[in-house]
Amino acid sequence: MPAPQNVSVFVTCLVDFLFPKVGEATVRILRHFGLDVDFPAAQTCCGQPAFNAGFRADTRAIARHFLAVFESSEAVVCPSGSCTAMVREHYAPLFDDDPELARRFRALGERTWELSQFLTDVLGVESVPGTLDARLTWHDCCHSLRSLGVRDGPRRLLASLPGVELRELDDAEVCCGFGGLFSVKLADISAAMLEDKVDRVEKTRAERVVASDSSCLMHIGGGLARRGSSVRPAHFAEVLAEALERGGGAVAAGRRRRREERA
Amino acid sequence: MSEYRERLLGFLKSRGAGGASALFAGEPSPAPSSRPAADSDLRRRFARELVAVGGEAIDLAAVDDPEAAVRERLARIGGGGVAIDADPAWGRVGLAVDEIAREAGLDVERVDGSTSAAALRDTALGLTIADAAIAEIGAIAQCARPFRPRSLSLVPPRHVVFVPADRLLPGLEDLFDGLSSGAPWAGGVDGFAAYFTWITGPSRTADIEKTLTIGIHGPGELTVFLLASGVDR
Amino acid sequence: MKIRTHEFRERSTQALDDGFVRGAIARANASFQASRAKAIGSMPDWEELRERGREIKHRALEELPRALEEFERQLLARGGHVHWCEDAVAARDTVLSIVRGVGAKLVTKSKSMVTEEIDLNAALEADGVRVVEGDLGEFIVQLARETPSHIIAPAIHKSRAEIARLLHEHIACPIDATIPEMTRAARAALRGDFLGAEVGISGGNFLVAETGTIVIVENEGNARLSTTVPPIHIAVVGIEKVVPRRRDLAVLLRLLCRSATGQSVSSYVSFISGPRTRAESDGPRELHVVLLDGGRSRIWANPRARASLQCIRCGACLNFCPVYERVGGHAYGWVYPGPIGAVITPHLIGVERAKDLPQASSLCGRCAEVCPVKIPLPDMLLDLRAESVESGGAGFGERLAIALLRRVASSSVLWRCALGCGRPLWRALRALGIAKRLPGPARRWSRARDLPRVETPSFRARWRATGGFREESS
Repeated sequence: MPAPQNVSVFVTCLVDFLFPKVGEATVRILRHFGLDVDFPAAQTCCGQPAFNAGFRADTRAIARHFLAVFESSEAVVCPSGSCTAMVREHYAPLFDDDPELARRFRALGERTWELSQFLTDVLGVESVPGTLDARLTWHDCCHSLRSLGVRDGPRRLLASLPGVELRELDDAEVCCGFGGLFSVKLADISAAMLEDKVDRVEKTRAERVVASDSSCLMHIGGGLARRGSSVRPAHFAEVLAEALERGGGAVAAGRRRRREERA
Repeated sequence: MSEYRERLLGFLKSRGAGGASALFAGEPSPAPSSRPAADSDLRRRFARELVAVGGEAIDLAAVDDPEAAVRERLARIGGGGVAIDADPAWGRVGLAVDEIAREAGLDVERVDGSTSAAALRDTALGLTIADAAIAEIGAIAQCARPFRPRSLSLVPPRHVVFVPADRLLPGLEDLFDGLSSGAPWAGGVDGFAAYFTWITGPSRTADIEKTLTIGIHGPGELTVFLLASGVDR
Repeated sequence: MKIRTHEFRERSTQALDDGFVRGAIARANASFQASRAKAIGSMPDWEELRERGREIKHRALEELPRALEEFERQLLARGGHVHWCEDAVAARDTVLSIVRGVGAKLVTKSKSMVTEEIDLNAALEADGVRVVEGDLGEFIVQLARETPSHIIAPAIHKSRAEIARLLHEHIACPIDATIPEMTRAARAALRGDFLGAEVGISGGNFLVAETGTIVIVENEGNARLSTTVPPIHIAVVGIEKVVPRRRDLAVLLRLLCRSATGQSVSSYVSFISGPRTRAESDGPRELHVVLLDGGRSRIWANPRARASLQCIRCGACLNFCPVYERVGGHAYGWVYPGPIGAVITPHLIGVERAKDLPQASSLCGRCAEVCPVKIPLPDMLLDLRAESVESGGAGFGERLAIALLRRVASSSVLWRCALGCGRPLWRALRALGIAKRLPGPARRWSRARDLPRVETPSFRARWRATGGFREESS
C-alpha cells in the first residue's frame, strides 16, 4: 500500500499520563522519516481496560469517541501494540448490530498502526540511520507479537544501529504478567510471572530492556526497580529517537532524501 | 434414553443444522509433508520411525540369512513360551517360524482367536504378521481376525511382528484408503474391519515426574521384521 | 467431580507457595513445549494442518445432529448399543444399569475426563463395584484419593517420593523404588485386574460418523486391555467428539499426538466399530457407547462459544499457559484446567459459579497460537467476562472505576481535567509515600513492583511549548 503523507499520533493514556517521552519520541521518529505528524488533542483512551474487564457498553462509548477523533486521519500511528490491536481487532465486532458503523471502524482499524510495524511494513524501513552505544534486549509484548505479528521488525531495526548489541532474551515471547487489570486482580500470579521475566532480563546483562508497549515496560520496570536492578526499561520509540538524534548528519540527510522521494 | 435422543436431535435441528450432504462435504485432505512419497525408501523410513520410539526394526531384505537373523533375535529372549497365531499367511512368509522358534530355545504354542487373554498371561512372546504397516510413523496395524486373539499383541511382554513387503504403506491416508477399498489385508465381515489397532513401538509412560519409562501395560519390547517379499496376491 | 471453582483464589495462592508443584509443572511444561516444537519443526505445513483440523471439527459441529445419527446408525448395524444421556445423572445410571445387568464386581477403566465429569467411579463404588484405573497417572491419583490435575499427565503434581510412598502403602513396592521399579510394580499389581475384569470402561478421543467408530489414543496399553479383554465394553463420550469421516482421523491424529506429547503418533490407537463379530471369539461381546450431553448442546447453541467444542483434549493450551504453569490444574476446581478449562467450565457449570476462571488470564494468546484446531480461547474468555458483567457479576469498585473511565474517555474536556488533576495528585501521593499504601490496586501492585512515576512535563505541555516538537532537539 502506498505510504501516507500525514499521520496522526495516538499516544495512549499511559503516555498521556505518565510517559510523555514515548509520545515525543514517536512524533520525532515519524517526522524524521518525512511524515507530517499531528496530534489530535481530543484523543483519550482506546478503552482496553473496560473491554478486558467485560464492560462492552462502556467500551463502545469510548470507541465512538476514538472514531470521532481519528476518522478523518489518513493514518494513525500508536506506540503500543495492545492499543493498536484493540482498535484493529476489537472495535468493529462491538458494533455487529450496526453494519455501517462497523464498516467505518474496520476501515479505521486498517489504517491504524503500531509504530514499529508502521516503520517496517508501511514505510519499508530496513535500517535506521542513527547510532547508539548500548546493550539492549527485546521483550515481545503479547499483543504486538500475537495480534499484530510484530517480531523480527523491531529486532532488525535495533540491530541495524551500529553500536547496539542486541542480546536475545530467554523466553522473550513469554508474557511478562501485566495483562492490564490482571496485574492487580490476580496480583500474586502476575508477580510470579514478573519474577521470571525479570530474572531472564537480568540474565542478559543488557543495559536496557526494550519493548513496544509502555504498559509492559511499566510492569517490568517496576519489578526491576524493586529489585534495585541496573537494567532500565526503554520504549522502542525512545531508543530509536535517541539513536536518530545521535545520528546527526545522517539524520538530516535521510530526512531530505525521503522528502524528495515523496515529491 | 431414546427419549433424550429425540429431544436432543430436535433441539439441534431446530437451530438450523444442515443435512448429511454437508457433513461429508469437502475434498478429502491431501496428505501433508510428513507422509513419505509412495516411491521413496519406505523400509528405511519405517525403521527410522520405529527405532526412534524404542522399537526394533530388522530388514530381512538386507541380511544374507533371514532365518538366522530371526533365530538369533528370538534366542536373545532366553527361553519361555511363544504364542503364534493361526494366520494362513504364515505359509507364504517363506520362513518356518515354529522351527526357528524352537531352535531359538522357545516353547511354541499355536493359538487362534478362541485363546483367552488370561491364557497368554505367562507367555513370553507373541508372534504375528502385520495386517499393514505405515512407514510415516513406524506403526503396524492389526485387524481383528478369527485366527488371531486380540491379546496376542498386547498381553505377552514381548511382541515380534513380520511385515510383508506388500503391506508396507506410505502414510496414514493410505491405511484408511486401503480399508475403504477392501484391501486383502483388511479382514472383517463384508470387507469392513470392525476392529483394528495401530501399534507403534513398545508401551510407554511418563506419568511420574515426566520421566519416560518404556514398558508398562502393553509389551515392553517390539521387534519388527520387514520381509523381503509379499504375501497377498 | 466435586466443584471447587469458587476456591480458585485460595487454591492458586496455595499452589504459588508450593515450591514442588510449581517446579514440577514448570518442568513438565518446558518438556511438553520442547517435544511439541521438535515434532512440528519437521512439518513445514503445520499451520495448514491446523486449518484442516479446524475445518473438520467445525463441519462436524455444524452438522452435529446428522453426525450423531450417522454414528449411531453405523454402530447399531454392527451390533453395538448407543445410549443418549442428557446429564451426569442419566449417564451414571446408564452405566450402572449395564454393570448391574451383568452382575459385574470388577471394572477396569482407562483415562476419561468425561467420567470425572459425571463422578462415575464414586457411583460404581457405592454400588459395590471395584473400579480400577489402569492408566498409571490415574492409578496413582486414585490411590491418593485425589483428582487428576492435567488432561494428559494426571499425576504431574506429585513427586516421585510421594508416589513411591503411595505405592509402597497400597501395592508391593519398595519405599525407595526408582521410577522404572515403580512402573514395573504398578504393571504387576494391575495385571490380575486387567485379566479378570468383567466390564471395561473407556472414554473416546474421537467418534467417527461414517463408520460408527470409537477411536482411543494411548501410550500405556491399559485402554486396549480394558476394551478387549472384558466381555463388556462401555465407552463414555461427549457428543462433541464426533467427526465426519474415518479419513479425517489422518489429520486429527497427527494434530493430537504432536500437540499432546510431541509424538508423531501414540504407542496405541484403537479403532473400535462394534463388538466382536460372529467370526471372532475374542473381544467384547457387548459394546455400549454412552453419549453425554452434560451442557454441551447449550454451548453448541451459543454461536460465540461453539468453537470450544472443537477441542480434541490435547492439553497443549495448558502446556503453554503461564497462569496454569504457576497455579496448576487443581486451582481450576473442576475437571478441565488451563485455558480450555477456563472457557468450558463456566459454560458447563454456570458463569456465576466459575466466575474467577475467565479472569485468570493475562490474555497473552499463546493458547490460541498452539491450539491444533484453532479455538479462539482469549476471545472466548473475553466473552465470558462480558457475560459476567452483564449478569451483574462485577464488583462495585470495578463498576465505579469503569464508569469513571467511560465518562472521562468519551469526552476530551473531561479527559484533560483528569490529566490536569490526576497527574499532580499521583505525584503528591507518591512523594508522600501514600500511594503504595492505598487500599486496592495500588497496594496490590506495590507488593511486587515499584509504582510508576509521573514524568514531567506532560506530553501535551511539551507539544504546546515546542509548537508540536518542531525544534530539532528535545
